[in-house]
Amino acid sequence: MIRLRNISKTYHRGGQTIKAVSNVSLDINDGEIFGVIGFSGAGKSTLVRNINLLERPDEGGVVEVNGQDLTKLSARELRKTRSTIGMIFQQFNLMPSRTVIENVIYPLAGKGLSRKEQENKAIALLQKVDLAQRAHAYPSELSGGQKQRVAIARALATNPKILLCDEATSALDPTTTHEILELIKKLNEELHLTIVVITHEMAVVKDICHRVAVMEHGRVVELGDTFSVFANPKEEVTRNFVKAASNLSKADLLAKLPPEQLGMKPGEKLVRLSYLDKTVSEPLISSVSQKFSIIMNILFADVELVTGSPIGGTCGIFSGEKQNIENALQWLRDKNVKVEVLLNA
Amino acid sequence: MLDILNAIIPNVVSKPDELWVSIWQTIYMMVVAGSIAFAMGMFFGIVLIVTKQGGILENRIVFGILDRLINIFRSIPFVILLAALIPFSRIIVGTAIGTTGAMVPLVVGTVPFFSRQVESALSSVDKGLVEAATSMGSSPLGIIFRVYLKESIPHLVRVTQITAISLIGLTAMAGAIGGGGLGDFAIRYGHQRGQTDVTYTTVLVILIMVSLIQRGGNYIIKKTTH
Ligand SMILES: Nc1ncnc2c1ncn2[C@@H]1O[C@H](COP(=O)(O)OP(=O)(O)OP(=O)(O)O)[C@@H](O)[C@H]1O
Ligand SMILES: [Mg+2]
Repeated sequence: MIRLRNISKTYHRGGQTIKAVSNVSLDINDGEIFGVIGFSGAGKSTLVRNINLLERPDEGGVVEVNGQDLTKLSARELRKTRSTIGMIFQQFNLMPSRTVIENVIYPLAGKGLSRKEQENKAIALLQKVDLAQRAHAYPSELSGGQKQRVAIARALATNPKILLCDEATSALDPTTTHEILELIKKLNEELHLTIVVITHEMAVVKDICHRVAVMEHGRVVELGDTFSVFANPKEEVTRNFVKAASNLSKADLLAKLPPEQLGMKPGEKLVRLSYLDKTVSEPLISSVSQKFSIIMNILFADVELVTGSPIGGTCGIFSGEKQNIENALQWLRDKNVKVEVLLNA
Repeated sequence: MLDILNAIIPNVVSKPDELWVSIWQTIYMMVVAGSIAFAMGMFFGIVLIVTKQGGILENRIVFGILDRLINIFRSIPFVILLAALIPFSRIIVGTAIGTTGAMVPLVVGTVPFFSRQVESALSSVDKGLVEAATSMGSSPLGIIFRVYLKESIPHLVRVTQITAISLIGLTAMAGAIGGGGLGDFAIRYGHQRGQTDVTYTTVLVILIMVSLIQRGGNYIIKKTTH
């Protein structure tokens, strides 16, 4: 369990003060994949670097990992604790002068293992990330995805309970990103690792994070399980992330057109329906059409899976009796569907 | 063979022993002053890197003092340093003349330059590597040896080459205070007695030394670059 309390971080540079993180408190549970999402400069990296004290919080901040306040440790104890917290980076940070296996062995120095034991351990880890066959290659001979796998193996060498990932997939293409995310998910399940994932990509959080914190201007503005946060975003930033990831945002563009161009007749409405519940199993659209004898002309739908549950909605033009349309929309609202009337013709 | 040499470098052939002695004197100054300057320059270069703002042992005061001292000593021309350090040489090595007397100015003339070179070599090490090592629980000493020094070996070899070559130049100048060596040899015979063949011979010997330094260094660089 990671407990952060009143974490602030102020930088002083050339007479200027920058508050990178301000007064963040949060708990990260054992065994969960916790996402931290936010746009560039939101303070994500700074916050997460507080967990292993790569950055020290301002006075008053508490960083507790498994009941131990890291800010109170001596330099030596801190180093020991740090080796129980693995970290991987956007730029991989492998040592170019060392081969893959030597990189993985790096954190094992001074841990009382013989050379042979170190090598065996490194090989086992490289097998786990599917790279044992490249053990004697140099990092410069590997692709980005392979480098990140080596970095993961290295981070796991000291059997950490926690893995911090700072934009670990941001330098990778979508396919490779997916592979690395799958690997992270696998590690979470097999090793019961607690994983903190920093990202500015909604797709990453959506795929693997159980819970997510949304950051803006150094603050955590939203926090909760991934589905609820993205199904029902309360803050502008969160909405922006959802929009950026969703086709439904196109509806906003449609709403700016004159109704005639959409082929809408007077009395018709352009409506966006977003599903807030985890269960959209009921065939809502066909039921609503039958029940209220209206027609919904679907322009597009976008349903995505967020940690296994569907999130998204449908955008279409409702036509029929005015009162019937009103009743239909009310019925949908009662079914916990978010209804937005974008355009009245 | 001897006839031919006699024809082109008569003044060298007439005193081969002196040539040998001066070559050895130069090598002696290079090795002794070079080793001491290497150790000190490495040390100061490392101190500069770790105490710099954002360094692993950030310390404004230490950095500020060292940084300024290096700047001051670097700006003193070597010939002036030779004269200025005479009293110190007497205290430290007991004499201010001869190859031994030249050691102190040679070291003092080389260390500031080399420290800066080491600093620049080490600062080319990606900060991300230092951060990764810190996150893995490496100690400052571990980071210095296993990250900074290990990762910058090719760069350090290159700056050592440059410094060694400039040190050859300084040993020649040290000849001016009777420091001995090839510079002294060339000045006494080539310059003062107009024996140009002596001058050209020393030039040739120095060229050979420079090329050996370059070849040796390039070999290590090739072996350690991946
Ligand atoms: N060492 C530092 N010195 C001064 N300011 C800093 C330092 N590190 C970060 N900052 C500032 O703190 C703020 C937050 O930075 P941080 O790196 O945590 O953001 P981020 O959310 O990780 O962004 P990105 O997605 O670009 O990585 C930024 O305004 C940044 O300029
Ligand atoms: Mg960042």
